[in-house]
Amino acid sequence: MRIVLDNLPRLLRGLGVTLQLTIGGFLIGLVIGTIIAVFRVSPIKPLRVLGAGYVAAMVNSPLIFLVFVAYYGLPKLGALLTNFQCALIAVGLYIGGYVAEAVRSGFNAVSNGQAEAARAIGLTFGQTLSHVILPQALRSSVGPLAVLLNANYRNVAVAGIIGVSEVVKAGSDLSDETATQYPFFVFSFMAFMILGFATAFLAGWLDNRVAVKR
Amino acid sequence: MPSISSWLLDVKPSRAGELQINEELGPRGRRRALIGTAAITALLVLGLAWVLRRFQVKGQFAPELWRPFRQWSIWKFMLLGLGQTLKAASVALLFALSLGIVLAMWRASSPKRKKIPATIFTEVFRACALVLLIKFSFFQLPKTPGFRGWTLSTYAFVALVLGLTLYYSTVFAEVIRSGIRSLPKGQSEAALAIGLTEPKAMRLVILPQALRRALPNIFTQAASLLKDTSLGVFVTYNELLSRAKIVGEYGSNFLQSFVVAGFMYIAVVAILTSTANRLQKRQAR
Repeated sequence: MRIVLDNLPRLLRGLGVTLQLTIGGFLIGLVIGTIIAVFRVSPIKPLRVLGAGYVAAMVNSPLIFLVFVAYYGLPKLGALLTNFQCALIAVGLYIGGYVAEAVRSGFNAVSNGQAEAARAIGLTFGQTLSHVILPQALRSSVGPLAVLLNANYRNVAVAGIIGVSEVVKAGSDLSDETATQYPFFVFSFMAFMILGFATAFLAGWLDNRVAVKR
Repeated sequence: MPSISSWLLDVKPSRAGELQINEELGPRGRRRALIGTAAITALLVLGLAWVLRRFQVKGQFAPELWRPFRQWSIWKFMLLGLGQTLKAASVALLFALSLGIVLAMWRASSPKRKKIPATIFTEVFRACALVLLIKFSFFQLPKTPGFRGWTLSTYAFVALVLGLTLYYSTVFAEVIRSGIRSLPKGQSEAALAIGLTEPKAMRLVILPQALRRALPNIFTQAASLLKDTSLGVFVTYNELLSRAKIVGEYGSNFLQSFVVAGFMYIAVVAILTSTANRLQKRQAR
């Protein structure tokens, strides 16, 4: 306990990095994922193929693999990025694939009558999507998206491999330095518990607020 | 005769459970879509050209960077890594799934001495970061020199499998428990009414149905487990990813070796995810 308190600033800084990486990556993923989900239902085939290909590539490759590609591979193409930026890009792209799947299942939760009615009053594809389908689809995917966000806190721990000092890495560095493991293990465990509960609570509240009453 | 535009548009009949935003397009819509298709294709080609140009400019197409992949020894090295990945994944899957079934059964049963430990175990390990569990397992293993003749790679393997088992058993437990809860109550009532004891009703009536319902999700999570064997990098387990990194370090050709490793990962993981999708569709009907 004492040892955790002594090193609290470093652990909290690690927690801050975890939060930045998780929420930043999630926001990037939200934008990418929504665009990809729209691609997958668009009337233009190359976009559908691109969307499906993107999702297949992200869902089938490990996050740590993407982190490695960003860290070891991108500099070879002339991109000079910090370790944190590499991790952020990898997390964002990875989450994007999963968000696309979540939003697509949100699309399927919208009844066909909605799209038919929108077409019947003469809305174009873009209008149908932005005024009728997407608002409903995004609302009904709050739950799945919250699950993704929640898993993301723990998934970003892989960024530790490229030296991004998020909470797990900060804890394990400290346990190497102080030769004690349990207190730091418990600290990051508690941190994930609290973040998880907070996210689930907020998501429940949001879900309740924006739910499509049917 | 089907025109080229209808081939490009590929309007499918509406499938059950899937939202159809587009309908059969009229002449104007079809023209627009065709223009859009052409424009997007052009954009994609340009984007791809830009990436390839980047490769070219930075000399990433230089033959010596790709040459290692004309040698069987390099392929063998990486394929052995893939074998290590599959080995860890299958052992962990076996343990995690068995433990997960037991946890789900215990948590759904009524005696408190089973329900409470299963609940605590599931909730605790589900909230852990997998990286943390694997590293922690690695450091907790007995360190006596020559312990059962274990080498470093044995330690790494055991730690990886242990971490994956602890975490994924809780994941499978939750997936199966939601399968159990999705069954109508009449199933267990009927099983008890014909005189089965509670454990027997669970084993003979509830669990088989619950497992079948949970199967798509089990496959999805198995895919995720397979991906997560790459976390073996943290404990120096010599699986596919760490071997790809070694190849990249050796020939200074990270991009090239990651391209090869990426295709290997996608090939094996896609088998599981596509099975999951297929099962999902079949069950939705």
